[in-house]
Amino acid sequence: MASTLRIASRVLPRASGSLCRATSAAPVRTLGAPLSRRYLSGTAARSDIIKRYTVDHEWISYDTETGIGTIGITDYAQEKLGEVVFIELPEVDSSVEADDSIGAVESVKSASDIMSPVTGDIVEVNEALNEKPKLVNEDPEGEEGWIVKVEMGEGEVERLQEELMDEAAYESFTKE
Amino acid sequence: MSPSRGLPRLVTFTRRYSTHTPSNAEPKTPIQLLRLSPHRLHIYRSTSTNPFFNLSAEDYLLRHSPPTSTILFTYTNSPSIILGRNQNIWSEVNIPLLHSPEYDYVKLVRRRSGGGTVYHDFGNLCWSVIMPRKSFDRDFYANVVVKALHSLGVETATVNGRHDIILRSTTRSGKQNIDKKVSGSAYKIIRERSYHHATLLLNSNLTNISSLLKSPLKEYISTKGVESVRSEVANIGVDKEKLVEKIEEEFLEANGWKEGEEEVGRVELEEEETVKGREYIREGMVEMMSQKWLYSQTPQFTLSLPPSTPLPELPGLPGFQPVLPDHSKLTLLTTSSLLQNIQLSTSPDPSFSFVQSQESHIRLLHTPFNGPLINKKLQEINSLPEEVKRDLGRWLEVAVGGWRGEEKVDLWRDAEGGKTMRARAVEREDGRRKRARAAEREEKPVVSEQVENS
Repeated sequence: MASTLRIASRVLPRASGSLCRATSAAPVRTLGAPLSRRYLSGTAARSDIIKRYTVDHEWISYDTETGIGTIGITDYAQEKLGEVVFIELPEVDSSVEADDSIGAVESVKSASDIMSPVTGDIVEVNEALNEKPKLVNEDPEGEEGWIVKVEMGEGEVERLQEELMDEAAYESFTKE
Repeated sequence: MSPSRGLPRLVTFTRRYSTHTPSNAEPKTPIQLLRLSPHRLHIYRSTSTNPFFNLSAEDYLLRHSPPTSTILFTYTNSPSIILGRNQNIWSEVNIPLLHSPEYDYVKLVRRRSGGGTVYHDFGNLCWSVIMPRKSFDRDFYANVVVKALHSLGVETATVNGRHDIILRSTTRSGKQNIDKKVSGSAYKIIRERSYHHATLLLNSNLTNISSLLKSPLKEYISTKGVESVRSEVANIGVDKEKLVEKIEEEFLEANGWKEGEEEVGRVELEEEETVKGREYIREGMVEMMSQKWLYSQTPQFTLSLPPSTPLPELPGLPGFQPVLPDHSKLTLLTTSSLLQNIQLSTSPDPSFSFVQSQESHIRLLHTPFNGPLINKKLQEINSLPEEVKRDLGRWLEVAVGGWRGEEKVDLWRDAEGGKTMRARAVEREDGRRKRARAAEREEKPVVSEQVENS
């Protein structure tokens, strides 16, 4: 019983947050259902910032608590693409599916698609890139060069953790 | 290129597809077989000169060919202006000239790759290499084409720092020592694939290039989009058929192909049959012809006209150069080709000019950046002097021009009234989500009870 209570109290803060839409990204678990590794492993602090990489050379860093993910292109990608001259940004409030194109980066006469690694709604775009697209070259994975913020759909946090590459995996992927 | 042309010498594997097959047999068309094709190297030629078809077929090859294959695709487009993906039509193209009856035959197209505006006609050869993203290189295939040109005696051809092919000027001591551009490159990169496509001026109409690609509005437009880099151009003057064969030979050699050891997939794409066989290409063409793609894709820009200066004379309005009164202000901020912020006033009196600006903003807000529509709305502004409205409206109507392309495009119904691929994909996704939600619901009720209890 004691352990049930302990688990329930863990669940509680999440459930009480269900008034804000974002918690839908981190669905509340059934007590009877097996707990995912995330809840048991010590890494599941209340708001973890986790960064993952895609085979399309995007990065997404997301807060496990709010379910807001920030998406950009990797340092490796910007180096390959060369000087960025224009970024096509999606509209705020539009919804995207995983693997949909959410815009394009133009550099040295090439247009490359930016694919969304997740399903969700676009909540913010980096307007600074309209004025200075080169920020993507200067600070691709930092504060300046991010591209969009997405409120991730249900179950996406878990899916990403399983499907996308972590930093080490991505690094060896680019060296293949 | 005619479909009946003899096959080149290098053919080792050939599939000929007749368009006149009995309907009950329905053999697969080449484009339908592409996905399963076992070959590493493919050589495609298009028999169509429709730029919308050729560019959409190229996009299909990019997205649906086997991931490790490399494809050489050559085609020629009928006269057309081809803009880069993120460019401004009004600062790149001489719209009044393009809309004059004399140039009725020239199409206006926005492509999916980056880069600047080019002009295509029957004297131009487009070549394109679709390859895995891992082997993407901006110069590699330009050098392959240069090699083909060298073998046809065009020895001055070389690749410059902008990844374009130029003819190096030979008169070293002379005053006129300008390299002439003969080929412009652009690229598209997706997931695992990429292409390098380029023009090649053989005997194009160079006068058209310089007149159609010079916009009277250019100096008044400031844009966040991509601007073209103007270069001196020249024709190479070699025979197209011969050059295509040479490029194909060099393409195979550059990919380490050896005769007799490996088969090459060779296909001639015929428009009607290909569009029928591949809905993706038909939908791509429809999208490319829509006003939404052609105009609304234009990045944000601002048009500002100066006061007290005669505006340029336009083709179609000889001798007509209106002058905006002193103290006038005219700036139009446009997003997705819709007017978003309008400042238009003529009065030196600050409070009245404020009234004028307010009224013009309200009247013109959300008007498409479309000449006749702007003119019409302009006439409704009561606080502006009649003659300014009349002259400015007339000038803008021609300078900005009407919109071409398809106004209303239904991307959800195909030619037969059925669902398009896009519609079906959305449905599949909705179904998936519903199932996921249902599965979620089965789990959830228990949780909420537990939480409420505790």
